[in-house]
Amino acid sequence: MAVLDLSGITKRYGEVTAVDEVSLTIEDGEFVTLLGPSGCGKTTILRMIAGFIAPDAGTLRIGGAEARHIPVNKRRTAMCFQSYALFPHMSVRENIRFGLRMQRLPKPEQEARIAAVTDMVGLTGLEARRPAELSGGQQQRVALARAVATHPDVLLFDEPLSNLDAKLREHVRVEIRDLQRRLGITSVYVTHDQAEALMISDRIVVMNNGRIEQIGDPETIYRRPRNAFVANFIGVANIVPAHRNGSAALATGVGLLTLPETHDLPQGQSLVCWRPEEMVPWHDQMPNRIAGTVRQAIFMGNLVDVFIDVDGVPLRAQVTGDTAIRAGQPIALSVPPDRIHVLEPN
Amino acid sequence: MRRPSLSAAIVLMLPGAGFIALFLAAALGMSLLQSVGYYNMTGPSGFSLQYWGKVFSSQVWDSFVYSVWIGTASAFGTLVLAYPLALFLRRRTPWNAFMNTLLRVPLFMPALVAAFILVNIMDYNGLINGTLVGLGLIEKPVRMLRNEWGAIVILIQIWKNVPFQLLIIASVVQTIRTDIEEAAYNLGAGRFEVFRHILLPLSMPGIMIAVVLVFIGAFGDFAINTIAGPTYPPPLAVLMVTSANLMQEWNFAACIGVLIMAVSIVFVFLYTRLARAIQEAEA
Repeated sequence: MAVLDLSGITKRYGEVTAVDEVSLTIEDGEFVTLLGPSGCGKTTILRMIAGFIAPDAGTLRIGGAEARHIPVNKRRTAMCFQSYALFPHMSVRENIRFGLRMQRLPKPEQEARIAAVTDMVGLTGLEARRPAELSGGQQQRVALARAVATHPDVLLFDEPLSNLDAKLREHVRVEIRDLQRRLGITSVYVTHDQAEALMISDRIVVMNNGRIEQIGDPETIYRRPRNAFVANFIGVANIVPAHRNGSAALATGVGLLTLPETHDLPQGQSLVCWRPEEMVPWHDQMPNRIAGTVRQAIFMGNLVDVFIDVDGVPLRAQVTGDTAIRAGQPIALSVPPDRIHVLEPN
Repeated sequence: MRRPSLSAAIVLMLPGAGFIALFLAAALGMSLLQSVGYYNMTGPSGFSLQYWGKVFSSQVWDSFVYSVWIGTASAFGTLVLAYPLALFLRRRTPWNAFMNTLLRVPLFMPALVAAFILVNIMDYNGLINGTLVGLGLIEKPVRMLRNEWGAIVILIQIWKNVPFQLLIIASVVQTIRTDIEEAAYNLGAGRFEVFRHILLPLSMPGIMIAVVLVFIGAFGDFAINTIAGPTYPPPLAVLMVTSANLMQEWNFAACIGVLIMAVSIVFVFLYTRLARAIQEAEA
């Protein structure tokens, strides 16, 4: 258990800057997800924390100690690999024992820990099996058990669920989070799946092109994305250019919009954003009326996904309750002012 | 798809399996029979153990020990060079690709030709002795050829077989995924422990086959032994050929043939057991 501190971490591969001056502090026991498209540098950061690659610049501290000169096998980090990386020639028990053996723990202590972690991840009874005799989900659990058995300061996850089917993924995700909470181990989790990131994290670090775009808890990242990249990467967003010209309202392609903080906004061009589910059918006296034509309405069970055309600007709304929306009809919707959010330029 | 019937399966397997069965089983059977007196080419045929009696003489024992030594030393001597190379050449760099090509050259050379080339270098009046004497480092040439330990034979075997073993072991070593190695380091293993607990056990199937194949080849080798081997004891294969061709003792030659095959089979069996025991020890 330890605070993880990255400061100005940079890694270059030839002309490409994979990680560009990333600074980030992860608190003791915190679960932080690095989220971004492939090639954004998230896995490179994870591998630098583990010690597989060395940063070109910047400092990395694990539990306050500068990690630069600590080799991989002396760092108290434990990684869950995307491919599980189980030792194919060893049984479940010996896979878990490996890290304990390397720590030179006495045999009774090894056995106690093996029993504890196999019970924790629900593998009791499978200790004698080889990895090839286990299902994907079971293999994932062995990898997790093997990592936590060593009592690491930091747990590292490299897209650990990407090889599981959707149903199992959700199940194992909950298990990982539960286990991490119970043990209170500082964790860094890498994924490109935004839904996974929202569900599992204390904080999310959204990355693009080797830089951090935004750091925040899942709700902040979702509701108040800093820029268009974050807004688009996390969920679906309506993003329209806006212009402020002295008045209290913003002029946009879909009409005049008022925001609670309008008077604080800079003059001139900006981008505003809101989520599809914030749009509600318009009634008298409601602010921010947006009228357009329904291009397509898809019934999704709990809601209707509506694709709207407002004077050539495409918008998307997710409306609950009203199933009478049909393609080709005119429609009037409203966005509550406090749900509209001004984006910074990318 | 309908499963082929048993008769169809037999018909399909017959050309391949039949060819092997006919010539292997027939040849083995005939050798066995010949070693106990049947199929005698130079005298009356009939059951007799006199040829096997001759096998258990001191001269054949010396040949046997020599050939086992050559087989073992060649197999493990080659391994000592080939395995580190296979581990080293795992990373795919342009330099490694070039090394790989260069290292395979001996594979494309017949053993006899290779032996001749290397003998020229190591002969009494060869390149090495010539250079050493010329430089005044030694007074007179050193005898390297035809010594009773077969030093040059082993050297030629190693030279010839390193690429062969490399080919076999590399194909296995390259299937060891790097993330497995990384996981071991991550769990606290040092370089030696990664080698001892991960790389070595996972390379075992390749090492096993490579060692067995080189042993069998070197144990029963004729070509290199005739050129660089000792006059006494005659290597088993040389003894077998001279018995048959020079002495016309075909039944005795058959005994030695059976002996060579028996040793090969026993060696394969023991080695397989040993390799399995090493693998099991990790689980």
